[in-house]
Amino acid sequence: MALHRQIVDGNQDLAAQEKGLNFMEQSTFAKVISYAKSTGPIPQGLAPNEVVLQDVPIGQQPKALHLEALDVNGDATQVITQQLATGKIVVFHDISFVGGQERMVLGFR
Amino acid sequence: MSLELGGPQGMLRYFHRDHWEDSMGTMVRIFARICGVSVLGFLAFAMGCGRFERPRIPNVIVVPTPGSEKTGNYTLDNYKTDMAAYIAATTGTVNNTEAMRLRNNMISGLMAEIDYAFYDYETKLFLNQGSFRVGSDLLQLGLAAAGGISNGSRSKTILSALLSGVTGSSLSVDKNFFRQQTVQAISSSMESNRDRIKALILTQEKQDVSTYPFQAARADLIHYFFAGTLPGGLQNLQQEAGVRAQDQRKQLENQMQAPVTADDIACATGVNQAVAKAFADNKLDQVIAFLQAMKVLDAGQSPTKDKIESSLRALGWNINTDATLRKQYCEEAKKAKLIQ
Repeated sequence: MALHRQIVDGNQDLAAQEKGLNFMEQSTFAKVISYAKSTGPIPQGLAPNEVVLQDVPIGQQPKALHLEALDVNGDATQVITQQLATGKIVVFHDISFVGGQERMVLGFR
Repeated sequence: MSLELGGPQGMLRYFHRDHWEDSMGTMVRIFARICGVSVLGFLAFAMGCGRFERPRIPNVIVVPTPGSEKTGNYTLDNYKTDMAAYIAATTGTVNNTEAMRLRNNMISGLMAEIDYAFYDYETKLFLNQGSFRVGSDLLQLGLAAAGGISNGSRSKTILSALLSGVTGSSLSVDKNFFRQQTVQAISSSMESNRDRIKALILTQEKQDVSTYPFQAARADLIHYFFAGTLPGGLQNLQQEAGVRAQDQRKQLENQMQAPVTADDIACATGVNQAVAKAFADNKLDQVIAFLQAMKVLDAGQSPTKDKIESSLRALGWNINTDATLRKQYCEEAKKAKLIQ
């Protein structure tokens, strides 16, 4: 299925970004497969995160995405263990902008 | 006297006042080696290359004109004559045709002189930077080679320190005079700025002297001249970089998803589920009506399932960046009874 790239405003807080990604999945009939801060030149004052989505067949929309954030060098083990215990799987695990600052962001569904 | 230092005691001996002449002799030998290698390198370079920055300038265009014959370059005397005639044509009853002719004549003459000065300067700029860099490179190579062939750690230390100094000086000139830009980039910037101003001046030549008097043309010509200088070129590069940065920022902002509310998610989720059911049941009338209302399908069309699907996906992408379209999307979805 086709892949698409979109930019999300990393100046938003984590909850707003989570809403944004879920909206994107639902409106485009796709699922997020990666989410990280943009690698290109970043103009001052902007904090772009790049999301990559893959189309899903209509009617096979996956569960909603949930985001967790840690310090960049934080230990993700505890967070991952907690989410796995609730039956979720890890979708991505990368550095993104949250509130304009770099954080380690993990996506679960 | 050997140049070997033989450990700390040997070094102390060299620093002792009685060995001052030996130390100076060492410095002279080191310097000679540097110069020798550098000069050899430069001679090889110079002998292999004749004049290469430009061909000989033909006599008909070189400034100043050789001999006593006029070759068409615009001299100060020409300018004074034309200016006196221009003042006469614009004083009292204005002879606009003659005044325009004289004004444009002065503009053309001055522009040609400025162009000559610029291209001569541009050639020298290329050559001067090139010469400096070649000289600096040869010196650095000479120092490195001399360090390789010298005996003794003291000699190597001195040469290494000199090499650092030369490298640092080269970087300083490049940073402070050329702002770490290549001559080609600066030259290109100067030329584009000059072309822009030249086009403006040539357009203004069609105006009469009350709209575009020579005083205004002179101000433009001064601007034209200074656009072809090193600071002018660097400033233009910076301005162009600033404009590019603004364009990049705008492009990125346009690509960014518009902020999403809880109502937006409820709308998108509702539409997604309604469309999934419609596809599963093969009852696509409401979906088609919705897409027609959103103007992604033509009215009266009988689209295929693939066409409906691709239209839905494309519309979904558009509403991510367009908040107004998103609002319309949810309103039309309600009207088409896809959501409540």
